[in-house]
Amino acid sequence: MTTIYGRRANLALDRAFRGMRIAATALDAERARIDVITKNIANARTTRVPGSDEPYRREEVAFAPILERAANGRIEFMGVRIDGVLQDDAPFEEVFDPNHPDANDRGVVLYPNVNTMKEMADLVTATRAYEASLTIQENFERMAERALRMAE
Amino acid sequence: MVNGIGGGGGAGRAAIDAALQQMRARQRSMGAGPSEGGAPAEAPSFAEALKSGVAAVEGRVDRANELHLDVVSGKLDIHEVAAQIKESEITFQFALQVRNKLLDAYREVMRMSV
Amino acid sequence: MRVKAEGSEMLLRLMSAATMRGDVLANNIASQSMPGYRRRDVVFEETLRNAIEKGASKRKIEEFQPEIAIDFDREPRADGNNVSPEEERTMLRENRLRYELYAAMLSGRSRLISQAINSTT
Repeated sequence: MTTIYGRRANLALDRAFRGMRIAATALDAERARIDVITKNIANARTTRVPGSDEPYRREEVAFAPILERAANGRIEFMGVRIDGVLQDDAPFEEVFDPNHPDANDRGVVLYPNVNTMKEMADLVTATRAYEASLTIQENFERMAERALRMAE
Repeated sequence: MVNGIGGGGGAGRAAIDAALQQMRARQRSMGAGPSEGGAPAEAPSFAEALKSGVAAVEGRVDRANELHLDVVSGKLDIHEVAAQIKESEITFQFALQVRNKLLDAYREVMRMSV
Repeated sequence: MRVKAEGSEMLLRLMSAATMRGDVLANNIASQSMPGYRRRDVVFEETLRNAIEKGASKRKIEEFQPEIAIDFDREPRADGNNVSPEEERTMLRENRLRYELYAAMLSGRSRLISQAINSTT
């Protein structure tokens, strides 16, 4: 058996299945975004991350386009990918609560810089984008099958 | 390997050339006269047109032979492939019909023997 | 005017590769929880494409066969398994379309051949 290199091994037929592949990258990317948003929501009240002194810090994903060189030499858009998970450096929320176990010497508890409402809105957007990509894939399949039927 | 067009196993152009040669010979043997000036001048241009038509068809079939390699190397999208499959079929059918008509005409001329 | 036999053989081989790949991907999905399992795939079209781009001769290209390969490149999770069921499913969909594509091309060639055989005057 030989070794292959993940997605790199799938360059063949890139033109034939381009629409489908672009939609597949969008599915992966939106899935990753949904995961990060879910993590933010789950940790909205985490005043202390285990192994550190700080509350949970909001994360967000950065998207980047995938550009590849096609057979005819031109650079083509082949989908999106996650370019990294960034930390939001907005300040933590300060709440005066001296009795809280994580209160500092001024009696202030630091809460994560997560706005749950905004995260929910982002979750809806990401979910819609995910479903749209799924639809694009299904449409591509149907159109391709139609084309092949017509060729019979 | 399958021969699409051609008489006794020759390529399309060769068989059509042979048929045209025989027709011209037949015409000449049936008497010159008024046709001397007109007919020989017309026959070549008809033959040329036919030859270039056959060449175009052969070009199409050659491309059909390589279709799968073009798809694998990322040159065609799926709709272009479907269109090429259909186009090859139509072109091939057309060429077959032309050949049949030509052979009909050839036999007709042969029948007009003295 | 010739419809070449090698083209049909290659298409049959591509169809076999797609069938093989369908099985391999299904096996990946079944093994998604097995610790240490690395996904497999069938490599064929990529081999052909590289050969074509490097200008290999037709004869060389006709000798290639589909191969099963292990994917050591994809990052594994903590349990050593690198199967993403979602990706496998996406690849299954594309693989099914590949099969249909090759089948359509093959039946197109068969039609040309049978037209030629059946054409009589």
